[in-house]
Amino acid sequence: MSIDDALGGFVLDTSALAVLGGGENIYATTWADRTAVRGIVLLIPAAALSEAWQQSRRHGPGHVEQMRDLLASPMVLIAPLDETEAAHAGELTGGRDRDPDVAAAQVATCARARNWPVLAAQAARLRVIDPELTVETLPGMS
Amino acid sequence: MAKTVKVTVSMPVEDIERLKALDAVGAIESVSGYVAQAVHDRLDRQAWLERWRARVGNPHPEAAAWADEVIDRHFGTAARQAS
Repeated sequence: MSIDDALGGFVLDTSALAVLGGGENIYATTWADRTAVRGIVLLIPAAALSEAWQQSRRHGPGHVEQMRDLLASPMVLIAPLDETEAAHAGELTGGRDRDPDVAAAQVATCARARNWPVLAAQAARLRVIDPELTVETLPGMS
Repeated sequence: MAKTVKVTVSMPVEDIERLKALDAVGAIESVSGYVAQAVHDRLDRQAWLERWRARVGNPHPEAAAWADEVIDRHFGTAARQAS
């Protein structure tokens, strides 16, 4: 599977990835299932993966194993944080008076570049970066 | 290259015509190659789904309805159905 082959896709932010890759939220586990059934790509920005991985490690081996299983899906693609992507993410947050949020910025640039929506568990970080981003929020998160 | 075997399958006439048209203009490598790759991709997805369901369980009906509604809203109901 490649981006070119995809009918469409969703970009996962750190919060969504942490829930899909660990825990028992039925909306998250079912989301991974239904997108695979329907051939929808889940695009994971490398910076978001790094953060979510850290959270999975904190929660223990079960979460890490579930994350590995999620990443093994043929519908999961990783967007690298290469020179071009890093520059785009930096441009998006440039000149703003706050701490940089590389993970959220790369999510936004990945979504913008493909005109794909984002799946998040909590959208607040993304809204700070890009209030216009199309974000779907996982139910069942308090 | 994987060992291949010739098989006969039934497909909708419209799909075959579309495939042949793509082949004629060189948009795909070959009809056989295209179909073989599509089947291979579907088998990969099915194998992963079996592993995923063994870990987290079958999709929850209420959550599946929500997921389908979100996918339909963004990409329509034409999204490929694999099962």
